[in-house]
Amino acid sequence: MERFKLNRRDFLKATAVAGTIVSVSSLTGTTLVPKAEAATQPGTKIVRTQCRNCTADCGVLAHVKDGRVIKIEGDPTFRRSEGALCPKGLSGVQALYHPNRNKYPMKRVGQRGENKWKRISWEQAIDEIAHKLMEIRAKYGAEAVMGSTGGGGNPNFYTVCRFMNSFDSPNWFEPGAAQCYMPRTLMYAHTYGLYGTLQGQNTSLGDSNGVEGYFYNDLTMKSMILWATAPSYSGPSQAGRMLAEIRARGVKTVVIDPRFTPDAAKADLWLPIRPGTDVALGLAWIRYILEHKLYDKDFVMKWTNMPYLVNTKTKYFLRESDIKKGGDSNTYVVWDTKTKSAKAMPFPYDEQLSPALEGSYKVNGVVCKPSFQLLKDRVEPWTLKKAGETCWLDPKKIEEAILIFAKNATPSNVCLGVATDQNPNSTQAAHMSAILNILVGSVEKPGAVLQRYDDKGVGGRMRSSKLRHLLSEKQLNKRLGLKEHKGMLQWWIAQPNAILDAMTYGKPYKIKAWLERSGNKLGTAANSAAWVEGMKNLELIVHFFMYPTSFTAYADYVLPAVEWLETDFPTADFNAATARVAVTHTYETVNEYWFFAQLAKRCAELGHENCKRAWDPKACAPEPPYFDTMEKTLDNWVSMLDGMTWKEYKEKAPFEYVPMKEFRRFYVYKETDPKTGKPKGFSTPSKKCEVYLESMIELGRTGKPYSPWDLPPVDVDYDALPYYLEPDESPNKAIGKKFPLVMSNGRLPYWHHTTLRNIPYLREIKPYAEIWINPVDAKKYGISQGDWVVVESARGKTHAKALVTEGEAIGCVYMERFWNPEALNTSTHGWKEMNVNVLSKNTAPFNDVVGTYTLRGYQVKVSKAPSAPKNIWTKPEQFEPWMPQETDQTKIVEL
Amino acid sequence: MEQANVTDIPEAQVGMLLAKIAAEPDSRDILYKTLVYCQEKRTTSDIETQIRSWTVNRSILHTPQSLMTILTEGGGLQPVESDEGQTILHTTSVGNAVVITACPSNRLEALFDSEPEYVQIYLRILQECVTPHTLSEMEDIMEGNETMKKENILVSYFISELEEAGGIEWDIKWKTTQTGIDTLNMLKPLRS
Repeated sequence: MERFKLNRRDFLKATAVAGTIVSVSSLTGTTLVPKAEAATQPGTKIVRTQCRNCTADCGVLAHVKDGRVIKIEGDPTFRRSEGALCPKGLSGVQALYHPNRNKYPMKRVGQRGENKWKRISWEQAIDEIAHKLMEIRAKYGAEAVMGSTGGGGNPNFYTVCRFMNSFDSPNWFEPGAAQCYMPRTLMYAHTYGLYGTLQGQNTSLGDSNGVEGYFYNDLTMKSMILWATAPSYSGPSQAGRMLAEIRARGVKTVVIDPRFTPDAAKADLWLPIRPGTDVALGLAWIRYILEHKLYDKDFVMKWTNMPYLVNTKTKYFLRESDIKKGGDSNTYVVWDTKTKSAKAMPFPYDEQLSPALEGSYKVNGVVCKPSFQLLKDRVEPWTLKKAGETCWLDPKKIEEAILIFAKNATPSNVCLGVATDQNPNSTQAAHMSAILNILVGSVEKPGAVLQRYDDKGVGGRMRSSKLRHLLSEKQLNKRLGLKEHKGMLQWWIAQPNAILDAMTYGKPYKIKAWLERSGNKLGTAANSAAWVEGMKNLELIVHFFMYPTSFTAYADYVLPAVEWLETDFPTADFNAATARVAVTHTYETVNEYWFFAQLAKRCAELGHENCKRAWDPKACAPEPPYFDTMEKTLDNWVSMLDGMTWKEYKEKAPFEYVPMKEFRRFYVYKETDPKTGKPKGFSTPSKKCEVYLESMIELGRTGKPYSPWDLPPVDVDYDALPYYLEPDESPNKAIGKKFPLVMSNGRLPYWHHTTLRNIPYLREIKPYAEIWINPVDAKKYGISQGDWVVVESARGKTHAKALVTEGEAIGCVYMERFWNPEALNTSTHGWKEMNVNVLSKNTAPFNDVVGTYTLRGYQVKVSKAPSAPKNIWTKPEQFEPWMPQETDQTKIVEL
Repeated sequence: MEQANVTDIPEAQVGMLLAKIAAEPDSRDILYKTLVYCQEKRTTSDIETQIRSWTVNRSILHTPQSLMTILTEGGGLQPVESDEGQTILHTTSVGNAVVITACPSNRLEALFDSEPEYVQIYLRILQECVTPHTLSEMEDIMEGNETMKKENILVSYFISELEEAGGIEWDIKWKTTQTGIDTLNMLKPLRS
């Protein structure tokens, strides 16, 4: 049979253009990318769908002939990407027809690691797995069953959580969560509020935020601070492209990143910060802004909780009921400078009062301070000089950046990315960035990134819901890591290292089964070797994914997942409802929702009462129960839009679910609430933007507002203000002598997390992991350009190829995650050769609120390697065995 | 039945077989019992029947044939002769060494030595499970235990440790094995 062949030159050309778009601006508003003039073969159908190789969901036109996808290009009508498509999206055909795809359910024969499998039916797979889970539950408790997923490429994120709640197990995790996005979703929910929207909820450009930037012909913002984010790499078709457009229109940018990314190359200022020290820098920014009064005084006074008095003994805000008998417990108190007394401040504001922002006052014998003063006290030590020393930056450049943000190029926004989520200062960094945006009043006004667009949650609600109320109180209290890290309750998730400890040491109880639905946990979780040790104790490991990875080598069952070209899913594009539409189906691959639904069903048949409830509409209400088929599930999800069916939805998509002028609304907080006659304010306890977070103290003590029950308190209260922790592994500590370089990671445009290392063209472009090292350090350690390097930490060692560049800060190195699918059948299973997470740190200290460990900002050393690692592929022709193998379309599997 | 002199067997071979058994967490006890069972020569169909009787209320990954293969490849069983077309397997000297080294009484002793602070908990569970109990029943029985509360360790941890040591086994409920009962009787003076 003739091998299916893509035109390599067209692919590479498209890639080069996609890479170029982020560094060349367009002045006319038309897209820079010339339209692809691909020949359309006769008999080809063009299907509008969407990629899902990362969180961006770019619009795609898939060319389908005889049931086979023969070409992919960007969809120019999809507004977020305007026809751009990055290498990840373009690799869809090679992913779909990869010869090594998981095709059928398989069961291990032989020992773990021998890679010997037997094909079985879905019925047998589900039955055997369900029986084993039920046995484990009976013997050791439901909590001994653990699930995991991966973010980013998985749009239906809560599928595993839903199953675990149905099974009454509190334990599921993903390597992201506390290490990716959850610190920001949590802290922005507490500072700005939570609105059930998906776009504008926080400032993560990679997660559907930054919408104002996409209206680049109607720009209000004058600058943007790209803090710990590299959209030109992580989202070249959307946020990266958007940045090119706004820069071309005069928007200044500041990039804070140890790595000289394309965004840094085009920025007005690059601050090459020492990894792990972002909070120190942020506190200095806050200090400068307060000292020089660059904050929006009107907004701070009237729309934040900064004038409210805090009882410095209890750490709680004063209420009217504290100063007046019969006073309201929901009304806060200020120090009125006119009457020199504590006065209740009714919502939203009493113009008769003149609240103090600074000072210390005695109220009923107790020292109280406005929370503005407490913030000022907290940041007082953080001068520009101190920040410069800590962060390895020039204080003058720090000042220049602050002035761009707060004075010279306003309105502005701090857009915080994932890098700061990946070390124990995670929630403090998110808190600090929220404070900066609030201080300058960059909230819900034109040009602000924080917005309450009327997106009705369309992008976020039409997918698996958690069914969290099915998890019992008794079981929630067993969630690993929960007592210490209550911020995890927002995502209803457990802490990875607590799970690892339970797997390895058995306490407080043993984990016996792992249901894993994502790519390569050994490439994403910190300290890969520790996970391999822990897995040896598990009686059941199930891996559900599109293709085998290192993790598969340790599994007992391998189950085949659909690729994005085989998936139906509702999505959003600003105010339009859009659709990912399955264009074909291959082998016996299934949607994860269907698999977990069937697993819950089988467990219900075997007597699991909770799993039975998961199929009962009354028991699940107001959330939907499980459905037997994807069609029914999709019908249910889209029914929130006027009772549509999925068939109707996808035929109509894209369509506006709300007019743009209603979607893109501003100053919602000032709108009148018809119930109260007062302004709506914000969805926070004070209805103001909250800088001092009493809610964090409450969270630590009780688990509220996320837990329906009171939980045992943490040993030490969470801090209501951000604070800086010097990294546990730091160049300033003893370990810095043996391991002198600070390691960080960051995205590349060819992959998302550990995906796509098996795509031949992408591997041809980037066949190995690189380590970026400054020429000063390279010379010091005897490393030359292109050398193979041994990189070592206190956890282990791995390899990378040196890229000697001034684009990496002195004293720091950068390496992105990698693994080698070509080595799957060797003793390493592909996770040891060039895997930065062999080096990363999974141990305490953790972030107190959400339990973040250390993926970025730990110490390593480098030395020249005698040779390349064994068994790896680096030459283009070596990837030939992975070239697409055409296959016939098959029916969708449903029992 | 031949009695192996454990010290005559190369440690590496014993270690390798133990590692192969340890690498199958859901079948370790079955693999061990099979070595014991095959200390008498057995046909493969007899072994299969015996394994199935042990696992009638269990879910394990491997078929009886796979388990025999694991032990054979690990050097614990060897085919000795055919009997009317049936293969006969017999525990090797390495297998016998593992039977002795890893016998439940040794494992229980090692468990108690490694966790002396929990011996009373283990003895209590062994005692209670002489009458079979479910996990939930054991949770209720042990609820007031001060050590478990203080250290926040659930009863399932101790149950799992005793299971791996061969002191209790699962047969719809948790039940103390004969070795567990013998241990109880031997340690009667120590029980509080």
